[in-house]
Amino acid sequence: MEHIFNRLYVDYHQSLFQFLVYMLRDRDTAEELVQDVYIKVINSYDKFKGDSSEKTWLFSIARNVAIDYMRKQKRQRKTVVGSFDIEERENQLIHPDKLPDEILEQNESFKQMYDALSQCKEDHRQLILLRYIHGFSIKESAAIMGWSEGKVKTVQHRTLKTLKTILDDSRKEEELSNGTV
Amino acid sequence: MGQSKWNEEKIIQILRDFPAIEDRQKKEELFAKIEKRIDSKKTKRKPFRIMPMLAAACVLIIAAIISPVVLQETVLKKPGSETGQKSSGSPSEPGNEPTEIQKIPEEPIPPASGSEGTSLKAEPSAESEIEPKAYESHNVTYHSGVVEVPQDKQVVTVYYTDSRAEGVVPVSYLADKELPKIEALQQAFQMINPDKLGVLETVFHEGDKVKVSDDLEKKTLIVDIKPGVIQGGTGERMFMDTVNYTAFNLGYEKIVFKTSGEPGYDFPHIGPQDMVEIESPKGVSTLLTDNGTLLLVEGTRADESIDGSSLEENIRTIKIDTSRLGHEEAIQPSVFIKEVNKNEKTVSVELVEGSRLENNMMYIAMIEAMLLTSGQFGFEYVQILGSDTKEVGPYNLAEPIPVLKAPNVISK
Repeated sequence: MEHIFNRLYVDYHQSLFQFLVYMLRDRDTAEELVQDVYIKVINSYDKFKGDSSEKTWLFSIARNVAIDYMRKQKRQRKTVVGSFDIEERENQLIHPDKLPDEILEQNESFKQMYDALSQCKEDHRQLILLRYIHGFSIKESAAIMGWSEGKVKTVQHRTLKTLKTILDDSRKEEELSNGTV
Repeated sequence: MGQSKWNEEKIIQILRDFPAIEDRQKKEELFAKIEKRIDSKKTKRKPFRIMPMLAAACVLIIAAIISPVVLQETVLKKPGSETGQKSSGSPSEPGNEPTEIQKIPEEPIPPASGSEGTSLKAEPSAESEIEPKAYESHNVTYHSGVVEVPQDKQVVTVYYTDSRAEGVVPVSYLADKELPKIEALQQAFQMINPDKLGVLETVFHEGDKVKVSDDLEKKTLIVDIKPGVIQGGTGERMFMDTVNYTAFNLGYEKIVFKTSGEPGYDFPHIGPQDMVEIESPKGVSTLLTDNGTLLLVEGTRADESIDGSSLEENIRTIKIDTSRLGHEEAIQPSVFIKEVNKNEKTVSVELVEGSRLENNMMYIAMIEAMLLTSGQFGFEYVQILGSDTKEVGPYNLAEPIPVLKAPNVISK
């Protein structure tokens, strides 16, 4: 068990942890869930062989772990609120957005981008993380997301447009509030 | 107002330059936590593994002594025989008596063919009219589906809700074919015991509050409701879902509502309704109820973010809830699936090279979830390619498997 963990840790941990932080927008939760990911991977390791797609497999599990967690959160929120009609904005309400220190230390563009990503649909955000932050190919992203390659291309294009719109809008709002227009 | 400073290239560049986020946990510290959790799961496992095997062995011996002829006949009459599918896991053979529970030990079950496969069959219980035939492992029971309905039977699939009133759960009953549809439905209401399964009834199932009839020419289910019996948004939603999906599976196209014989019903949230068009369920997941029943659930996708109109995504996001089985993690086809292709009547599910499905109850449920999902999309067969395992329960993976005609069958 330890040798599997050691190898996976060396090869993928940094990337895996970062994926969970950006997906969940919460470092503490990511620290908890990364354990779940390793447990699942270790327990089902013998079911999977094929080094070429190991990373894809690992991220697919990580994504499912994170989705499970978010669904549980939604369910708890429903129970607390006592209503079954509040689903529309749940994507935005999983966590209050706490900017990771690493983002806070960057210039304004990174913070704006982080905020803009938070406003995208959950699965669209996941795709953008996979494609541009983790460098997965279209094919690999499709495998992780369980989508066709065509859908990956379409959603990727659409999300980049959405990001641009959000970023432009936030800039306009900023200019208006600063009286620079 | 100046020109936009954002363009696609800049957005991509910023994303690529996003800072790395380091895990504050040390590697050793993280491993210690993981090891502790895995060990604690192991200690929570059922303390013995030999008992289920002994139970299976006893069943095997008793079955072999008492009814070799009966068992042999059962094999010859298996419903999947025409398509190459084996029948030992299917509760629908004509001539089968109602009760059969296959005790499935932790170890993979032997192939379902020949004497080995039939040897797992338990003796029918004489004490109950409607005991389910099911697989059982670790106190979890799975009522398997049928890929072929006996000629003298008709399927009645009644929908209930899960205990959280979040999703709808189909439970199938095989009624005599001669019965008119509505009588078969009413018989199913009588014969299915939702408490035992761990699912909930809605007003729809309560004969004193709702009367059902039909107009076969207009393919319409008529639901006559007593005034004021449907309460609250959740109650209304679950009522509508259970009626809708039950009607869909019975082959109706519309539902007409009445209030004590008068046209229309005034629902608390959606207001007055005379008639609704029926929607088909999309997406299959599983539910492990508090009573230890594993059920296929329709109309509830495991992953809410997926495109519900895509067969491939629905198949990839199936998840088999194994949370009560101690050592097993949830089984997810996405872990195995390389590609899903559609070809006229057949869905081909190609697994990642080296994938090893296991011949046990949970994987039977996984395959049946795929069969049910493919059936929802209008396909007739599922071909699983690239599996090292050639048989999972009654299913011969070397050949196309017919889609499920009824999930969660609780009766003969």
